[in-house]
Amino acid sequence: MGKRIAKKVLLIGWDAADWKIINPLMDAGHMPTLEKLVNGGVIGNFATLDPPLSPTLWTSIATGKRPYKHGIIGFTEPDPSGKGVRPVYITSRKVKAIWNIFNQHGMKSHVIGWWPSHPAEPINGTMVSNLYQRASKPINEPWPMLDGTVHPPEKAELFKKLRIHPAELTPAHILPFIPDAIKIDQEKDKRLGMLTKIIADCSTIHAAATYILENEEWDFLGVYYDAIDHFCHGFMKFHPPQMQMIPDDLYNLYKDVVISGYKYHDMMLERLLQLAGPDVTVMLVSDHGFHPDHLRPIELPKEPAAPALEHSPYGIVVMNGPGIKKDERIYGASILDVTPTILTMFGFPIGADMDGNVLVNAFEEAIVPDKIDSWDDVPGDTGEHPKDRQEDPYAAAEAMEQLIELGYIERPSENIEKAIKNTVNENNYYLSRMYINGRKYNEAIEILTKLFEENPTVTRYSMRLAHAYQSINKIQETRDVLSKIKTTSGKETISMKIMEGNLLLVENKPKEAMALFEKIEEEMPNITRVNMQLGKCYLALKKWKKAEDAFQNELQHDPGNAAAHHGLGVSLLRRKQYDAAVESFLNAVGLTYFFPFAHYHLGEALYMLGEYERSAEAFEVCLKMAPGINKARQLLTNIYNEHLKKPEIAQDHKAKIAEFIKGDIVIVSGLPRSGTSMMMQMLDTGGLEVFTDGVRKSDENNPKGYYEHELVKSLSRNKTWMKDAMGKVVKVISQLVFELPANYRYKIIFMDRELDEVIQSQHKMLIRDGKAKEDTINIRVVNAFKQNLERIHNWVPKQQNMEIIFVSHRNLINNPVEELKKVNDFLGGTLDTKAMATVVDKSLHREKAAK
Amino acid sequence: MEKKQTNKVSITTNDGKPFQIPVEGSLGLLALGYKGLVAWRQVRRQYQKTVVAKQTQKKEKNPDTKS
Repeated sequence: MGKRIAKKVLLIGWDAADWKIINPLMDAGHMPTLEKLVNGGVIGNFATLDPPLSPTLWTSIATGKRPYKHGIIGFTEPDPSGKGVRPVYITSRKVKAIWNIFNQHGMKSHVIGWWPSHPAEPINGTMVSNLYQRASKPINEPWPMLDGTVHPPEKAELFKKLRIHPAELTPAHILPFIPDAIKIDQEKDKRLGMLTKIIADCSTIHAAATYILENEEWDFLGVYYDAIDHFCHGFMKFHPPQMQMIPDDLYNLYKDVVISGYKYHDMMLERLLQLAGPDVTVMLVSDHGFHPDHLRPIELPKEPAAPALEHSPYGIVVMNGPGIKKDERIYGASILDVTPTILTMFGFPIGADMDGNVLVNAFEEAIVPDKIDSWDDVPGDTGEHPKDRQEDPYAAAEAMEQLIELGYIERPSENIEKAIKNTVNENNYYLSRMYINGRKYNEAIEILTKLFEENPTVTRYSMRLAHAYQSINKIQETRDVLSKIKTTSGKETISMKIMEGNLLLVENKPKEAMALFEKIEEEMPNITRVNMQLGKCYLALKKWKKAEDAFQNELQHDPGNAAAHHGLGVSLLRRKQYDAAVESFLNAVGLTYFFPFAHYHLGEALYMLGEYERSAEAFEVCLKMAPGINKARQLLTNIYNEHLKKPEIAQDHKAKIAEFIKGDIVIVSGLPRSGTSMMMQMLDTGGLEVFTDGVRKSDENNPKGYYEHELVKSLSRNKTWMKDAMGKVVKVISQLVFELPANYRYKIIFMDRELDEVIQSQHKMLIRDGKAKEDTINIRVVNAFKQNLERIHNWVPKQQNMEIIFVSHRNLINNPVEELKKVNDFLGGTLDTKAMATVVDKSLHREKAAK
Repeated sequence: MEKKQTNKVSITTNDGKPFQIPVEGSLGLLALGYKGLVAWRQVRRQYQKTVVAKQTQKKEKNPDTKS
C-alpha cells in the first residue's frame, strides 16, 4: 500500500458536460458552486474514446480499461435468453470496476445510476442501478421497480419512494427551463414531455445520492447524472446563437433549456458537496463534451448511434480536496485515468493492464504510483455477481443460434431475429472502432472485413474498413475497398475522394494529393473542409506560408483542433517564427497532451530560441510517450552535454538510443560526381546487396550505372521505405544525409573528392546534357557545397547512430587495393576487395585526367 | 451506522429560519435531494388533504351541489 491521500472520494459523473458552455456560465456567476470547486482545485480537458458511446465510456471510467477489454461495447445487447434485445447489463462487464477492488479491501462504496449497473452488484454498500429512475407509465398506473435495481434488496422499498414521476412536476420546475411553456401545443410538440422526464430522472438520481450521503457511511461514492447529455441532445439545436434552420418561435421557446440544465446541476452539486463534507476529495468528470457552437451538426445521418456525432471529443475533469493542487490546470487527462488516479488516492497500486494513467500532476506531492500486473487476478470478495450470473450475451446469442439450428429451440419471430442481428452487427462495428481507437488495426480489420462481406451496402462499415487499412499504410487494400464501394454504390462520395487524396499523401505524392484536395475545395466550398489535408500537402511540399494559411483556416472553424495547431506550429517553425511556433505547439498539447510530435517540435522550437531547459523538458515528454523517437534523444544528448552540462543524463540517453535501433544500413554518400556510383558498384561487386530500383539508367555521364533509388530523393518527407533498405547499401547524396531517420544505425562511406574536380565534373555533365554553357560555373553553388561538406564533417560524428569513413577518390583511382582495405575494415572485413578493385576504370575519369 | 429516516422533514434557510415550502414545489427543493423531495411531498399531501377536507365540508353543507 502506498500513502493514502484521500479519506473519501466522491466521483460525480455529468454526462456530456463541456467547458465551452461552463466557462461563460461561471464567468457570469451562474455556476457558483462549480466555480468554487474549480478555483480550489485542478481542472482539465478530458479526452474521450471513439466511439463516444456513454455506457462504454462510463465503464472505461470505472475500470481504467478500453472497451474491448471491459466488454461493454454498445447501448444494447442480445438478451441471452434469445428473446430479443435488452439494454446493456453490468453482467457483460468482464473486469473489475473500482468499487469491486475497494470491496476486496473492506471499504464501503455506494454507486448510483452508473451506466450500466443493472442488475445492481452485491457490494459492501448500496448500488442503485441505471434502470432505477425511468417512469414508463402514466402516474395513475402502478410503477413497479425491476428486480435487481437496488442492492441490498431490503432497501428497494425505501429507494422506490424516492423516485419522482414526471407528472409530479409543476410549472415551478418547468418555467426556469421554458419561461413560455404555456405557448407550447403539446399535441404537436412533445418536447415539454421530454424535458419533464429529464428533470424527473436526474432529480430521482439526486434524491438517492443525497439520501446515501446523509444516512450512510462511505469511503467511495460514485453517482452518475445523464441529464446534461439529454438536455443537449434534445435542445442544443435551440441554444444561442440561433442556427439557420431553427425557426424564431422554437428558438425563443427553447433557447434557455441547456443553460438552465447546467444551472440546475450546479444547484445539485452544491447539495452534494454540502452533504459530503469538507474532507472529501471530489472528482467531477464528463465522458465527452457536446458541441455548443458552429460545430453543431446541421443534420444527422439515419444510422444507429448517430446522435453521438453531436458529441465533442473533450469532456471535463475537476479535482478538489486534500492533497490536490489549487487553481491549476492539468493537461493530457483522459477518461481512462479516473480509476488509476482514485486507486492512487487511496494508496492502492494500479493495474499494469489498465490503459489509463495516474494524473500525477494533480497532486501537491510528487507521486510515484505502485503497480501490480492486474487487479483481475487478485482473489477476494469483490462484490461482483457470482460467475454463473456473469454473461457473455454475444456468446449466448451464438449458442442460441446453434440450438435453433439443431432444432432444440424454436426460431424467434423474424423481427426479433432481425433486431438481434442488427444489434450484434452494430456492436461489432463499435468494437472495430474501439480497436482502431486503441491502434489495434488488425483486430478491427478482421471484424470489419466480415461486416463488409455480409453487408456490402452499408458504407459506414466499408469506409471504416478502408480507414483501418489506410491507418497502417495498406494502400492497395484501401484502394480495393474503395473500388468495391464504388462498384456497389455506383458513385464516388466526397469522403472517398478525400480518402484517395490521403492515400496519395501516404504514397508521397503531395502534388497529386494537393491537386485533388484543391479540386474538392473548389467544387464544394461550403460542404467539405479539406484545410487539414491541404495543410499536410503544403507541409510535404515545403510551401510553409500556404500551409500556415490552410491550418489557420481550419482553426478559424475549429479552434479546438490540436492537429491544426500542430500543423500551424510546424509551418511557423520552418519559417523561423519560433515564438509563434512555440505558442501553437503549446496550444496543441494543451488540447491533446498525448501528442509526441507536438512535444518534439515544441522542443525543437524552444531549442532554436535558446531555451534549453524547456526544450529538454519537451523532448523528455515526447520520449516518455514515444521512446523510439531517437531524433529527440539525440537532440537531448546534445542539450545535456553542451548546454545544460549534465553529461551523466546525456550518457543515459546515448545508451538508450541503441535500444530503439531497428537495423543497420550502409550509406554511400558524397557530393554528386564525387565517385558515389563507383563506390556503389564496388560494394555490389564486393558482395553487399545494394538498394536500387534501376530507374535511372546508365548514360554517357555514368556508363556503369547510377545505383540509385527513386525513393531516396524524397527522403526529407518520406522515410517509410527505410525499413526495406535494412542490411543493404543505399546511395544518398550528401545534402540528404541530415534527413536520415534516427532509428537506424548507419555506416557512411563518404566519397571525398577535390571540390574543384567535383565542380568541373558536374559542369561538364551539365554541358553534355545541354543544361549549361562553357565557363559559366555558379560560385554560389560552390559555396553551398563547401558549407555542406563542413556540416557533414561537424554533424555526422556527433550522431550516436552514425559512423563515417572518408574515402579519397584520388587514392581509390590510383591505389584502389589500399583504399578498399580501409572500407572493408570499416564494414567488418567480409568484402571481396580484389573483385572490388577491378571496378576502377581509369579511362572514365576524364575530368581528372584532363587536369 | 445507518441513521433512521425521520417522518417529518423540515427545511430551514441558511440563517436557521424555517423555510415555507411552496405546495407547487421548486427546483431548489429538488436540488436539496431526498430531504427537499420528502418535505415537498409532505406539504403537497397536507394541501391535498386540506382541499379534500374543504370539499367534504362544502358538500356536507350543500349536499345538492355537484362537486
